[in-house]
Amino acid sequence: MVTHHIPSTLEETLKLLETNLYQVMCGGTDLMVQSRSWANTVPKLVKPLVFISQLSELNFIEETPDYIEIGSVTSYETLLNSSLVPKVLKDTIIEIAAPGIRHVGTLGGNIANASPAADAVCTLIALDAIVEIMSSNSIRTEKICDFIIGVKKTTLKPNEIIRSIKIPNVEHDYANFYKVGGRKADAISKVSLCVLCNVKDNIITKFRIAFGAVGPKVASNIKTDELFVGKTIDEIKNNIDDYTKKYASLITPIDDQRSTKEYRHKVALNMIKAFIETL
Amino acid sequence: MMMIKFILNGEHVEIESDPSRRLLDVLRSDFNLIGVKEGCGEGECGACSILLNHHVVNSCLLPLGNIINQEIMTIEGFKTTKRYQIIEQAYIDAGAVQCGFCTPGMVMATESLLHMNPSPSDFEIKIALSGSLCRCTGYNMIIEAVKIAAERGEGLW
Amino acid sequence: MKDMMYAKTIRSKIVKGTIKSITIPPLPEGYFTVSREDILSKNIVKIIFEDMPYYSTGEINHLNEPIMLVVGSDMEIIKQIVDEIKIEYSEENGVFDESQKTIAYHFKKGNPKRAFKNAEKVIEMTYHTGLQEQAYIEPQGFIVYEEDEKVTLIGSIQCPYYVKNAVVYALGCSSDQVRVIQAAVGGAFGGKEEYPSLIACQLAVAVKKVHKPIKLIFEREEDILSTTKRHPSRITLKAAINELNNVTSISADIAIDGGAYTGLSSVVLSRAMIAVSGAYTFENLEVLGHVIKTNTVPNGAFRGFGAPQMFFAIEMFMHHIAKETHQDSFAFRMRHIARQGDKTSTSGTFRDPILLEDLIRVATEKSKYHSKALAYSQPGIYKGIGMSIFLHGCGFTGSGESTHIKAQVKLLKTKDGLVHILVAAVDMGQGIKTTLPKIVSQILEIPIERCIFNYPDTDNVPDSGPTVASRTIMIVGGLVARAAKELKENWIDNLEQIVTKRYVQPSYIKYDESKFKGDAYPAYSWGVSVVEVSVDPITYQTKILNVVSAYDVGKEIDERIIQGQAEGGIVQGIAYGYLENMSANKGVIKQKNLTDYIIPTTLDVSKMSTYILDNPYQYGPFGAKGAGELTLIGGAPAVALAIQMAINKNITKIPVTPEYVMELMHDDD
Repeated sequence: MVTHHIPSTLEETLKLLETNLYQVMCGGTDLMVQSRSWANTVPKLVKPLVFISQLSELNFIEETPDYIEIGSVTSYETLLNSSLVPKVLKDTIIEIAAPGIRHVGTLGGNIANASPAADAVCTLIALDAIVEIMSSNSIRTEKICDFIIGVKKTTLKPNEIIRSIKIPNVEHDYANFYKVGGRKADAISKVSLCVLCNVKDNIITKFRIAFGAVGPKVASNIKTDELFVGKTIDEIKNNIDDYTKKYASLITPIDDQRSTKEYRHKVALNMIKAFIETL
Repeated sequence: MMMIKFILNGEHVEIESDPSRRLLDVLRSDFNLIGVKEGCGEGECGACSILLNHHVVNSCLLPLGNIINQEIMTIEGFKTTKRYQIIEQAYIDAGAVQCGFCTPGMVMATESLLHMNPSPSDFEIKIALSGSLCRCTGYNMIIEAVKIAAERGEGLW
Repeated sequence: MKDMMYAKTIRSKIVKGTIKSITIPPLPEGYFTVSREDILSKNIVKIIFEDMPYYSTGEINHLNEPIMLVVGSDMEIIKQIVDEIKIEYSEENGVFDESQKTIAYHFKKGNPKRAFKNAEKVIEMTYHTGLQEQAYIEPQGFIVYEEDEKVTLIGSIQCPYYVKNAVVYALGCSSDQVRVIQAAVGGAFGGKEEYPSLIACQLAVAVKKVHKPIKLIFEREEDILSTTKRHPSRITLKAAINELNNVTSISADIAIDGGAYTGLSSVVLSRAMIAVSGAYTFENLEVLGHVIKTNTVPNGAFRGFGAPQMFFAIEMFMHHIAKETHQDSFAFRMRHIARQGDKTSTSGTFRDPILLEDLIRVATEKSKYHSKALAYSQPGIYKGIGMSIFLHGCGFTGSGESTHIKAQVKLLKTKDGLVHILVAAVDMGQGIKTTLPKIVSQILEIPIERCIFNYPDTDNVPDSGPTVASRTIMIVGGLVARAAKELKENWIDNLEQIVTKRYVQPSYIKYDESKFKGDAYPAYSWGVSVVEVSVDPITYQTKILNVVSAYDVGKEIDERIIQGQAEGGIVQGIAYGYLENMSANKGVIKQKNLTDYIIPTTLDVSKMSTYILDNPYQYGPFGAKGAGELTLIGGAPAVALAIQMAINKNITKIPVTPEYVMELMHDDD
C-alpha cells in the first residue's frame, strides 16, 4: 500500500514523485479545504501525500541582478517581512485571507492550486513572473501566465514540483493591487486587479494589467496592454472610456455564490478607469 | 501511519498517526485539548486557532505532517503563563467575552500579535484579529481588551 | 464517555418528490441505521404548528431533509456506510412563489376603509428582505445517553424544556423518562430555539435502538444547509395621506417565506404584523399576513423574530412618503412617533412613559445627524447618514406568557447560605449567568459569589420558559427578584429554604389572539440608531463609518452586558441590511459555508457609541425590560437609509449589496 511521505530532502521528494503516485501537500490552506471530510476523520484524498513544507531547499528569498527569487514553500508571512519582496506583492499578500492563513500559506501552493480568484497569482502575472519547475532529472521554466492553463489546471506534471517563482527585478512608477471581496478581510475576491505602469515625459512606456476572478484563469493580454504604450497620458485620459473598454472582451466572468457577472465586469472596468485617472 | 514528533505546550510529544489528519482533530481527540474549537473547518472562523512557533494558525487546515519538530501551543498550554493572565483579565474587564466560543482563538491571535508587536495600533489589532469571527460582540470590546492587555503587560512581550 | 457512538445524518438530495427506494449495504456488527421505521410514537417535532417530521416520511419537501442516521463507533466506517447507501427518488417540481399559503391572519385598527376613501393621496411601495443565517460560531450538537429507561440529552440549546417536551412527545413516554441538560452554548441567536428539538428527537429514537451513548455534531456546511434561518419577506405598504400631509392609515400585505414546514412561522408572522406601525402611531390600520410554503429549508427563530423585516419596510416607507409629499423626513417622522397613551397597532395602550423624543435627541446630537444629513445630501459626496426609530415588545406576544408558558422559578437556599437560582433560562452569551446572580445578590444583600447559577438541567430546575423573546431578564428575572424579596423577608440562618414563584399576568393586560386586539406585550423597549456610511462609486461597496444608538431598556442591570448586547446586536442588524447575503435558487441555497456567507470581521465594524436612558418598568427587576433583540432591529433600516442618501436612489430591498447598489446607480444608463 502506498502511504504518505514526509521526505527530508528535495532529492528524496523528487524521487518519490517519479512514481507519479503522489499529491504534493504544501501549507495545506487550499488542499485541506478541498479534501475536507467529516470532522475527526481523515481528509478525502485522491492520492497519498508527499509533504514539502519542511524542505529548507524550497524556503528562501534571494535577489539576483535580474530577479527576486522566492522558494515555493516560503510562507506569505515571511514574504511580508522581507525587504526583497516587491511592494505590490506585499500589498497583495496583506489582502489574502487573515494572519492564521498567511502564516502557513505559500506562493507555490497558491500557484499550483490555480484558482482564478487567487490574489497572488493575479499580481505575479502582471509582474511577468516565471515559475521554475523541477523533476528528478530536469529543470524547466515557464511564464506564470502560460503555466496556469485553466480553473485549477497547470502544466505541472505528476513528477514535478514548483521550485521557485522568479520576479523580474523591474522598477515601476505605478504598481497597484486592488481587491474587491465580500468583506474587508478573510474574503475570496469577487474581482481583483493588478496594474503596473511606467511613465516617462508624460508618455506611457509600460502598461500591464491582470484581472482575478473574471474568467477561468487570471486574465491578462499583453497585446491590449501595448495599446497604451507610446501614448501620452492626455491622449488616454481624453479618451478614457475607449481605452478602458479595450479590456472589455478580456473580462468574461460568471455568476456564482459570491457575485454576478455584470458586477464583476463593471467593477473591473471601473477600476481601470479609476487607475487611469490617477496618472 | 507514521511516528510524528512535535513540541506541544512545551513538552516533547510523539504520536503514531496518519500525517494527513488535521491537527485540530489530533489535539482534541488524541490529547484531549478541547479548548481548541471547530467552528467551520475551513479556516474562516478562527475558533481552532493555535500557535505554531508563536504564530497564530488555523489548526483545522494544518495537517499533522506539517508540524514535525515544530512548537505547538494551545490555550491550555498558554494558560500557565503570566501573559495569559494579563490577557484574560483584560478580556474580562473589557467585557470581551459573550458566548466564549471564539475566545480561545481570539486569545491565541492576541498573543501572536503582541509577541510580534507589543504596542499595536487599533488598525494593527483589527488586522491581527481579522481571521477570528465573533458573532456576539461586534468586536469593539475585544479590540479594547487587546489594547488594555498591551498596556498592562508592557515589557512582558 | 465510555462506548461513545457517533451519528451522521443522511439527507435528501432533491428539493421535492418522494423516496422510491433506499438500499442499505450489509452493516457490520454494532452499526445501525435509524429512520422513521424505528419511531416509537410520533414523527413530528413538537413546535407550534406540528408539521415537521424529524425523519423523512418518504415525502421530500426540501433539499437536505433528514432521512436517517447512521450510527456506530468508528467514524471512518460510518463514512463508508454513508457513501454506500443509495436512495432513489421520484422528483417533482418545487414551489417557490407565494402560491401556497399555510397561515393567513388579518386585523384592523380604527376604520382604514374610511381613511383611504378620504385620502388626499395614496402612496404604495413593496419591500423585500432576504434570508439571514444565525451563524452562531458553534454548530448544532447533542450527546444522548440512556440510563435504565431514561433518556438524557446534553446539547447546545436555548430551550431545555422545548427539547424535553418534544422528546417526550416523540417517544410517547412519561415526562420523568426524559432529562435535558444544557451544554455551554457557543452562540444561538434564535437558531437554537426550536431546531435542536429535531435533532433531539432523532437521537432519542436512536438511543432507544442502540442503547449506547451517541454524539452528533453538525458540520458547518450541514448546519448552514439544513437549519432554520430568518424568514425572507415581501411587504407591500399603502398609506393614506390627508391634506396636512399626515398618514391617516396604513394598509399592509405581508408574506413571509416559512420554507418547507411551518413550525413557528405563525408566531414570527404575528410579531411582524404587530410591528406594522413601527415606532409610530397610525389611527387606522388594515393588516393582512401570510406564511407561505416553499420547497426550501424551513425558516425559524432569529433575534428580532419578524420585527426586523417589518421595521426595515416601515422605516423606508416613512422616508419615502416624506419624499413623495415634499416634506422634511425628520419632521414628518417626528409628527408621527408614538406617545404615551396612544393606541398600539393592536388597539392596546402604550401605558408607560415613552422617551422617544429624548432618545432621538441624544442619538442625533451625538451623531451630528442633522448637519451631516444636510452636507451629504449634495451630489458627488457618496456619503450618507440614516436614522431608524424602533421598539420591541418584550416577552411572548399576547397572552403567551400566561396561557402557554406559565413560567416558574425557584430559589433554593442551602443551610450554609448559598442561594441557587433554579430556572430553565440558558446563558448563550447574553450574560444571564452574571445578571441573574446580580439581581439576587443585590436584593438579598449577599455577595454575588453566594448566588449560584448553573447550566439548567430539567431534573433540577422548574420550567421558567424558553430563552427567547427578550423575556429572560424582564419575565424570569422579575420572578427571580420577587422570589428573592420573599426569601429575604423569611430568611432563617442555618436552614434550607425554597421559594417558588409563578408568572402572573399584570391584570391590565388583555389580548385577544384571534382578533389581534388588546395589549400584545406587557412592555416595550425603545431605540434609535444612527448609521453613517460611505459608498465607493468605483466598487459600489459600503463602508460603515460610525454608529450611534440610544436605548430605553427600562434600567440596565449590568452596563458591560448591555453594551455587549447593543454592539453585537447592531452589528448583526447592520450586516443584515448590507452585508449578509444568502439566496436560494429553486430551493438550493447558494452560500453554504462561512467563506461564501459573509458575516462581519473586525475590519468591517466601525466605532460604536451606545447611550442608555433610564425608564424603569414596574414589573421588571429594578425596572429592567428586554434588551436582547431590540438592538438588532434598527440596524438594517438605518444602514439602508444611509446608503439611500449616499447614492440618492430608492432602496426597496435588503441586503443592499454592492451588486444592488450598482444596479441602482446605473438604472438610468
